Parts: sequence; structure tokens; C-alpha cells
Amino acid sequence: MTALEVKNLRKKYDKFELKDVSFKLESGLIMGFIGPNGAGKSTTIKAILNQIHKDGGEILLWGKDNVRYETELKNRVGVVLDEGYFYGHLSLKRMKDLIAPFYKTWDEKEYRRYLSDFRLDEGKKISELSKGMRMKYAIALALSHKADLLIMDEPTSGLDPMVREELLELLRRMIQDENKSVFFSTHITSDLDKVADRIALINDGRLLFDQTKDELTERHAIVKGPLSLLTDGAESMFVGVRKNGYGFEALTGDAAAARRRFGDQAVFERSTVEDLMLYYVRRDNDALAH
Amino acid sequence: MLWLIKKELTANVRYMLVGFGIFLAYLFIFADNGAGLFMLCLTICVYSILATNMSLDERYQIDRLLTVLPIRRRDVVLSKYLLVFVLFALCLAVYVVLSLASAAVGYGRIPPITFPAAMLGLFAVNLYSGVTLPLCYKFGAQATRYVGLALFLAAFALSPLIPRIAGTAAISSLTDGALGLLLLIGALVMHGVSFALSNALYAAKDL
Repeated sequence: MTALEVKNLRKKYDKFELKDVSFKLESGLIMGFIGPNGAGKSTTIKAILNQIHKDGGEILLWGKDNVRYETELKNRVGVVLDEGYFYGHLSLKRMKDLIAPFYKTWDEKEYRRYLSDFRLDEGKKISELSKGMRMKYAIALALSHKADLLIMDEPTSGLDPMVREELLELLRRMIQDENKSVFFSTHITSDLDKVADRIALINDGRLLFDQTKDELTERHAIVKGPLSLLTDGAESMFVGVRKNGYGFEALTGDAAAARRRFGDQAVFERSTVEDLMLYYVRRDNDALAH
Repeated sequence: MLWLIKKELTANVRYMLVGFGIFLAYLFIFADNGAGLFMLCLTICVYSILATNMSLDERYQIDRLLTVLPIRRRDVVLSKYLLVFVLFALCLAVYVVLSLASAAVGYGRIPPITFPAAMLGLFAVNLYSGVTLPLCYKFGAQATRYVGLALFLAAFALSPLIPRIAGTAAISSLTDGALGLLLLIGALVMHGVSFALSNALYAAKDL
């Protein structure tokens, strides 16, 4: 079943515009939503949560319109935002007491388990929490009402590697239930190499691709070789090429064709999500500049 | 809705207690204001609590939190307006108890509450919240606090006029019941118009 579907989403601001953004997230998958700062990731998430009003397009959660069925759908969605947006002067317990009654499916036992797993002290004030602990608290709240879809906006930025790894492990566990899905915006792409099933890349308000990670990594490869290989239109095979005095490094979107053409003369490496983002965004920015 | 009102009352307990402390203190400080005493103290209390409530919500961007919860925006706005009625009811209860107690011990400077005096209080706080809440939703709590302060000072400045206004022919010809009812209708109309405006502003707002 499709958990989240965004169709031709449009939103215009004075200096920025989301242009016909479309993607789909099936249940049981983790989707990484990547792009540089200011690309439109948070704007898209705000539109999904109806925090901003879209100028056009459609957003469906489990096939239902996100605005029309807002309260019903939000009972099934857990949200972790880049900042906590909690009252800093309250203790964790008092903040939870304010939030929990709004959810029909709040599970106190589950919440206690997360507190214990994350070593969170309920008596502490929210303002006393580090960024990592605050994020863990937000995740505990987001997951304790048995959300079927977890939406996270830059949850790992500012977290140390240990906490990030814990979070990723948690997502892996969550996704073992095939009815659950995760939509995860980030610019720390190494996290997605570990957990994402699907990657959507946005730049300057436009979606550049939305594909499974396996398809992307199979199709793409980093190619390294001497500059002498870049003849007879060879560069057109690449998404982008970086040259230096010793040779070139490039990303190809057709690894099989590149292997046929260059054979043993070039070195082929598996491309990471970061490689994909850097090359595609650079190409897109160059195209926009011309 | 009940949980939202509970949130409004308990999210900032310290400020709520300060507000009620101010209400109690001013009851004694301005005890000679006669019929205007309840209105004056209630306005100060509601002003301090509502202004703090809105500015804390703005400081911690609680709007962003509320819009991820399964709540309608309309209910978020309505809870602020209902908070004013809850504060009115609480202050009225405290005032009634204190005026009875003061009469019992022969203190006598806190007059018993009358229906028009209570409704005057309700009218005043609805005027205050009716003006400031839509401005808050449009321009934010920080930008609105000067308007709130001006209204608060106006309540102070105008309270000595209340006995004189009450003594005018048009007002004194009304029975207590009719006057109270008139003030109640005025408060409810202001409340309704202001709520509709705030709701429209907040519904259209991008967070």
C-alpha cells in the first residue's frame, strides 16, 4: 500500500518555489529525502503536515487527502522535526502529559520502554537536554502512539555518530513491521547508505529523481581514469566530471555502458548517496546558471 | 478541546500562579474601586496570563508542535478564547469567596459581586482578548504586546469613570439584570467576531 503520495506539489514564496514535486512512498520502506540546504525539503514536509498551504497539487496519506482527513491521518503519523518545539521550562514528564492525550493510540508502556532505551530522565527539564537527548525524546514521543508513518526533518543533524547509529538501528527495527514507513529528510547522506530503501533528491524546488537505492547504485558508478579517455564525446556519458592534473573522476548513470566503453582502462567504484547528490546537484545548478 | 484547555492552564503553571497572585494583591491594593474592582483585577490577571501564554507559545514555536498533533487549527484558536472564560470563572470564584470572607471578618472593602459587575469584568477581558488575539495571530505576540499594554493601561485609567458612567440616566434606568445581560451580550458578540477573525487568520497562516 502507498503510505505517502505527493503529486505535483507547488508552493511559491518570494524567492523560492516548489515546482511540481511528485514522489511515492510504499509501506514497509524507508525513504531518504535529500538535497542541499534550501532545496525545499522542509517546505515539502511542512506541506505534508499541512503547516503551510500548498498552491497546487495533491498530498495523499494512505490514499486520503492530507487536509481533508487531517486529524484522522495525524493519529497515524509520528513527526520528528529539526528542533524539538517543546516548552523548555517543562520536565519531560509534564510535556508528555500535555501531548499524549491527543493521540487515540498512545501506548504508555511503549513510551516507558523508549525512555529506558534512550536513558532519558523524565524529571529533567527539556531546556537541560542536549541536542541528541532532545532528539531522542522527540523520537520517543513520535513512536509511542504506534505511528504507521514516521516523518523526520533532519533528525540526525547535530547528533554525534553514536546517537545517529542508535537512531538508524531504531528505524531498522521499526521497518521490520511492513505496515510502517519512514520518510526521512537529511543532508547527511551516509545515514541513508545504511538504511534507506528509496532516495528522492530535490534541488532548487524540483525533484531530480525518486528511485530505489538498489536501482540507483546498480545504474550509477564512479569512474576514475586518465584524461586521455575523455575523447569522442565520452563526457556525455557522465552526470558530471571532475578533472585534475592526474586524471578525472566522474559519475555515470549507465555503469554497464561505461564498463563496455572504458574496460580495464578505468577504475569503477560503487557510488554512494553522497556522490549521487553532489554530481546531480552540481549538474542541475550548472544548467540553471546557463 | 478539553485537553487543549488543560494544556493552556498547565503548560505555564508558574505564570498562571503569578497571574492569580496579581489578582489577589490588586484586590487589596485597589479595594476602594467599588463596582469596578472585579473588572480591574480580572483585566490585570487575564492580561498577564494571556500575554505570557502567547509569548511563550511564540518563543518555543508551539504552533509547529500543535500542527503535528491530531488537532484542528480551529480548536487551537478556540482554546485561547475559552481560556479567557475559564480565567473569568476562576477569578469570579476567588472574588466571591474573598468578598464573603471579608464581610464575615468585618473588613468590608471588597464589595460583594453583583451581576453587572461580574459581566463588566467579562466584557472588559473580552474586549482585551478580542483585540489582542487576532493581532497576535496576524503579527505575533511580541509585536502585539504594546497594544495589550495600552489596553491594560486604559483599563486602569478608565476604571474611576465606571461609577460615573453607571450613574448616568441611560444606565441607571436599567435594572441590574438588564445591564448585566447587555454587557454579557456585548462580551459574547465581541468574542464571536474576534474568534471568527482569529480563526480565519490562523487558518490562512503558513507556519
